[in-house]
Amino acid sequence: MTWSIRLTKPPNDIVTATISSLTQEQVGQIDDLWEDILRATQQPDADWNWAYKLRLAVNDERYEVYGIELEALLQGVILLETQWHRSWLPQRFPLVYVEYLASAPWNRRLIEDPPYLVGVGRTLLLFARQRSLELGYSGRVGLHSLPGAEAFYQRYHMPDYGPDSDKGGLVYFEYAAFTL
Amino acid sequence: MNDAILAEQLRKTGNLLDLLNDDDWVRNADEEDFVEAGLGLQPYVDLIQGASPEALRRQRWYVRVLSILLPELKQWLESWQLGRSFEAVYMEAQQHLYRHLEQLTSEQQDWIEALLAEAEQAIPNEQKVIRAQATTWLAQLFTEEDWQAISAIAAQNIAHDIQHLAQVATTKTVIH
Repeated sequence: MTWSIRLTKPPNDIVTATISSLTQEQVGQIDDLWEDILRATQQPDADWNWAYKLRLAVNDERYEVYGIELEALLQGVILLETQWHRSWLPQRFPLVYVEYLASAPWNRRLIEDPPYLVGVGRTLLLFARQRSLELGYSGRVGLHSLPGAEAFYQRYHMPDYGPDSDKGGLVYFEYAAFTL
Repeated sequence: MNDAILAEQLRKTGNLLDLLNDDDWVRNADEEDFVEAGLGLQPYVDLIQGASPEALRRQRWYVRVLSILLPELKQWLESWQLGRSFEAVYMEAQQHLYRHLEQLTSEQQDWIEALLAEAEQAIPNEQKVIRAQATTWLAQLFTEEDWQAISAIAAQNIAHDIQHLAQVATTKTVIH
């Protein structure tokens, strides 16, 4: 399934991109365009490979992996775990857990000013909440933010549950159910 | 992203993504620096933060060039109606394109610069004269060896798919 989404392309354009299940071709772009071009050497770090985990997740029913694409370039990616994680609230409600949320290097102001696209992270987060609704989890979404990204989640009013020692001290954020 | 606005959208249409049809909401997004979540992404963020200015400049150039050439390459290959082997062929063709972009001749470099200059002009893609030459340029860029490698990938994929589908059919027959 593919959804059309709209994003801001600086300086003033609104462009139509797509969000759909991640393809192996798009995972290849993470290796080649997001990372390899930035490496000082051509040797990937042997201790980690998050693109490898995405490749495995594509065929695992616990996970859903989606990518935003514009102009045949992968602009952002989100990996959701939909079966095992529970809310940090005492009721332990089921929720959608964001294993990975990442934007392409060129979509951040620190690297590219103005960024190539604006709103990739916000759109992926919105998409996670929509999937939570569709799965019957009432919009509940949890994630562990990397240190430099906490301000982003705070700006979008995601409740902060503090550092999680099981996740290297990363701060856990969780959206509650919608009240309609 | 305020829950009151999202809840209002849910009451209206039942789908949060419909907010993306609202120009004001789309334009209201903040420019993002780092949005990454997930412990496994720390090395990716470290890579970006530690990248040299030269590496970032090279990536910016690639993104500008590929945002034009990849849609053209994809459309061209899609017109070949390769079916299930399309993705593998497209991935292989991308690898050859990346390799050529690293070692352009001065004539090829001139064409790319003209392509990028044209992209800056506020005219629809269909009216861009240099961009209209992209397929021909790609056809000339790829060598005989490139096409042999791409053909081999297509053939391998078709062979693999046929064997897989035959195996699936055999299993079904046995079960019945």
